[in-house]
Amino acid sequence: MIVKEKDILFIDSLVESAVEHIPNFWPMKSFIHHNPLHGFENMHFEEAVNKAHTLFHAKKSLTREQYQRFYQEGKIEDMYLREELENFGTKCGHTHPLLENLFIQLMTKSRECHHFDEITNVSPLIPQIAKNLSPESLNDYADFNANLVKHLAKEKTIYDVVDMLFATNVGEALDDIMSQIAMRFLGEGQAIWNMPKREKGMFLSWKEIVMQDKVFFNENETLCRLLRETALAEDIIFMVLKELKIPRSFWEEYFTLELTKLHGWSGFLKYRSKSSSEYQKKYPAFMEEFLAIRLYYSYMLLKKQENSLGFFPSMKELGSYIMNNKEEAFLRAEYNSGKLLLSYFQSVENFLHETQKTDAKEIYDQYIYDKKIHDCEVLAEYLYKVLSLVLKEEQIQTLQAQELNAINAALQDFEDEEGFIWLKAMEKTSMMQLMSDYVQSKKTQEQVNSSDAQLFFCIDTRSERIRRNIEAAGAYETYGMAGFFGIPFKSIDVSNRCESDLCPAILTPKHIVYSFHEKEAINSKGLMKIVKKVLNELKYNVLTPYVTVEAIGALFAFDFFGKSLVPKAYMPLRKKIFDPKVEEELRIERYTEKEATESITAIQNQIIKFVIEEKFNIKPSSLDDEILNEIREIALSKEDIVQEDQDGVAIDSVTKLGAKYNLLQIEEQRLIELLRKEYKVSAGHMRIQKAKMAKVGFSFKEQLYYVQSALKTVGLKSFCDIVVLSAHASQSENNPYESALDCGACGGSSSLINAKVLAYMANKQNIREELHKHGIHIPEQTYFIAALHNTTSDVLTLFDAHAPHSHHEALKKLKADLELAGMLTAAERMATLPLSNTRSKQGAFSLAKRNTMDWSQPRPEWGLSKNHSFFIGKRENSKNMNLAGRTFLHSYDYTGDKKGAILSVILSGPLVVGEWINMEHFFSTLDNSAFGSESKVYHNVVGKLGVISGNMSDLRTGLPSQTVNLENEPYHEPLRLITMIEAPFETHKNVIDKIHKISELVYNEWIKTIFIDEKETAFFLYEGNTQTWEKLEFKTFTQGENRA
Amino acid sequence: MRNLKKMKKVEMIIEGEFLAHLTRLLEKIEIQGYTIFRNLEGRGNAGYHEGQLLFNDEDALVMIMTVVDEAKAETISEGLALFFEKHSGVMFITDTHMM
Repeated sequence: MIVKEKDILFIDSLVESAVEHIPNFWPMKSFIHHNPLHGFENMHFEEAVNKAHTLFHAKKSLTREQYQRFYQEGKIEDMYLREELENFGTKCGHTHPLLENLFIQLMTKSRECHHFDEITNVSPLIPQIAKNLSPESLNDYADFNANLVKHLAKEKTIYDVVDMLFATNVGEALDDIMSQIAMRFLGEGQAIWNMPKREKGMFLSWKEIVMQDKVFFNENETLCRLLRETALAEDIIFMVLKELKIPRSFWEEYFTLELTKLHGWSGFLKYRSKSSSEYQKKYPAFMEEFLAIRLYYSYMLLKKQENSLGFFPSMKELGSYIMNNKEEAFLRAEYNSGKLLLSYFQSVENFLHETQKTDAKEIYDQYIYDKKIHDCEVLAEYLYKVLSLVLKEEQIQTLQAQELNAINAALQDFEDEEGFIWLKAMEKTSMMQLMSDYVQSKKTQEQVNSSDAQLFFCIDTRSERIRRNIEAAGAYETYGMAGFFGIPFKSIDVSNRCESDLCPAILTPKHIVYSFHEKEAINSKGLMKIVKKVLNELKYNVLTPYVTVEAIGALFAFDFFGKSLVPKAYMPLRKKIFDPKVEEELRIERYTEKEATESITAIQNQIIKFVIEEKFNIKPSSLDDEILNEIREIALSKEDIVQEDQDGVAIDSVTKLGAKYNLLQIEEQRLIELLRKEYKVSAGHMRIQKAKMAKVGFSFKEQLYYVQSALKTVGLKSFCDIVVLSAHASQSENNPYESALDCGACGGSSSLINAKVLAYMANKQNIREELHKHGIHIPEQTYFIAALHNTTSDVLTLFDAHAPHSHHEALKKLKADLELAGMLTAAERMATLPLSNTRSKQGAFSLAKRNTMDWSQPRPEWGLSKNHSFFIGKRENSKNMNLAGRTFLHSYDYTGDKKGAILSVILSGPLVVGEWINMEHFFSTLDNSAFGSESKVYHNVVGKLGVISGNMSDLRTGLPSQTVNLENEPYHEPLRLITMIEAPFETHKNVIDKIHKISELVYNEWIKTIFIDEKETAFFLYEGNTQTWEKLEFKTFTQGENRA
Repeated sequence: MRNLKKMKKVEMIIEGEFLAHLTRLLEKIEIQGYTIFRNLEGRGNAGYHEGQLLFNDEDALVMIMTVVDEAKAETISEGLALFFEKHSGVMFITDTHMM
């Protein structure tokens, strides 16, 4: 070890800071929508977009042509575009009278109207413009070398510059090596050839490989010796940086540069290193290990270039080369980047390939001279074309040099900011539309006297359509809240042997819920059947000794071993035992101490039977409880069995098992040790297992708390006979992105179990009695029913098998209305999907159902595409707004929340989830290559955790093109989430200021915020340009009308 | 005070998002014992932090407290200086006695 403890903390903290701007990437089975620029949220939105442009080489906005399409479709009001242009002019200080008209022409007239392509370089004015351009308008190539050195290790890695100057391929080779290592180590069961000794962790496992690698385990004796001796990734990081001569003050930026190269894998590792996933526990991997491996290979690959370069390109030597060979370095960069003037191609090529270099200065000076003339001509031609939009030839001729340069400077600023101008104008158009619709909706409100049922839905934008159609179908009230219904738990599905966190990713599950199929029963006998079968299947597997009670019990991560190790034997067995059609049973009540002990004891006895059979070939049927209990008790005690007498001779058995089967004590002791070490039948592990079981289910107080919170959050005070809690899930075949279409508030899973858990709790008599004392009166006849909205087919299924007979008639009517609502919703949605030209409602409904089964369908539904707003308020006020499935709807009644406590829960939880979803769509649309995953057609699933493009690439993050684009043009309209909060501005605005995260989102404009103040009959908008809250009276704003 | 050993108490207030990172670092330098206080509320340079973020663990403030000898306290303060430079949060080191 060459680094000290404080250096370890220092390096690891640097790594943590370095990856802050890289977004987490969750495995595909639980796709989490997130803001790809989450790490930049402490900055203003525009600043963050600019930073991401530099770091990820991402686009800053859609193209002008794409925005023009929205403009032509009326989605961007001309008035707001002009308003934003004015704001831009004020901000940048560009005051030339020509500019406003010039910019408007550029923005609103299509390229064909500009006749740009028809204007050729024939006008005599072009040389005149070129003559008038100031030198500041043009690139100054004299700074090239100094700038390159300045950016070395800050904006470019050493090998970026080496590749640029010497046309080497270090960066690509390094990315390929690291992608392979990531796939082989981080894969979750797909790779045929995994890394060796993965349980030791990523760095040590990799060491096993690289030390056998003759290509990469040489070159530097000190480094290789260190690698052989150290177990610390930080040692390698430290040593490589020393060899590359990168000063400490550059380390953090250098780490960022390295880790953003494969930001998909880095993002996945960032998630995994902090998760409690089974794979992370079993095969730990951390970011500093990934970085150490990358740095090691980058050093070795650079070292291999030493001979051909004539020097080792450490930061210092490379910097010296660039400064001491100014002309040659510049010409190399021009030549290799394809920017070289064509007329110089041959001469520069000859020069670069000469072994004895002639004087570079002559060719360099001449080249710079010609290059500047060329740049000047190109710029002059462009300016001429632009000016021709608003000026006649003679007017252009009269422009003074000063004016021309001022216009040129403004034009450059404008092009840099144009995307933001479009965006803000488009957002304003939508905001004014939403406010108008709200006022109109309130005006047309009808008094509702009584309702037949109340239905809760997730805030998901897809709920808006079905809610609206259900409300229209009959006397129904609907409510919206986050789909995990406020109950954060981990679900362990015994049938499928898998676990899911059924809560938003920003929340840690506080409980565990087991789900079982009826056939299994929730008792230890049912569990034993499963344990026994799987143990038998594992018998012939080489990894059997690793099997633990956690792995094979129904308790924890059953799936990990069953599916991963013996899939062929296991999967048919699973199908045989578990019937997926049978509705699951949930363990919602907390285990008592007695129940927990009984369950664990029963599993342990089953394991003991298995091990005895394996070790001594004794039939399990011949082992009675007495024998098993004795062995188990010895294993749980700290006592050992004496193996030899005083003379060192092996002595006879002491246990009933040993007596019955003539075992020696030494054999009995080995059995005990095996059980303790490999199968975790020990007192310590039993304590851990009991502690884990104590998290299963909910205590009475917890149940009371969750029911009370859910009802208070939405402001529900009186109850119908039927209250439906509707979960949602999508359904598609052959779709790695299926979980992206599931419930975001449930970590990319179906929210059905959450709905069932809340319904169970709310139906309990003793819970209702206690709620009564807290002022919530649920009538005896009220019955809560869980339901599932299939968002692909719009079929809504009620889980009402246990509903009281008295409710059957009402349920029959409800089901009919739900079917009608589903049909209408499917018809609305199908009209937006390509190739679904059916006109009838029935036809649309059946087409939607077909999409759930069509394995060739790349776009089974649009999901959350086109989301643009989040409404927090009373449903009756938004009921008559046609929000077209674009709005998250959270029910909230400020009159029952004087201090804003409920609002703070909604803002800090559901709104943050909404913002993640919105930003995921925003950036995946803006640049589908940098932030999205491009076309599904080229995707290959890798390591069962994500997709790559083709057979080798970075892990692809973000949404595929099919989710946000239609025929390569944006279908999603990228707008920041317009958040409407129905609450008095004066008293509730401080909720924003008290939650740091929310104040960041509001004041840094990651969301656009509007308070709807019923008392003041006014809207309060946060205006980013002036950084103030702007007040607007309640009124409808007709198109084109000035809001002032 | 008899039987009491002079030690240093280290208290670190950080955003919940970094809890796993810091506890892992402590374990890495062989500090096995620490206590975590959740849902802290208060104002700092970064603005006001509400304490009860029921549906959000990442953005709530937490405090890690550990008691170590002087040498370890020095390692922590030097090693984590950069972390506290880069992130909102604060570290206190005070004298204490441990039984």
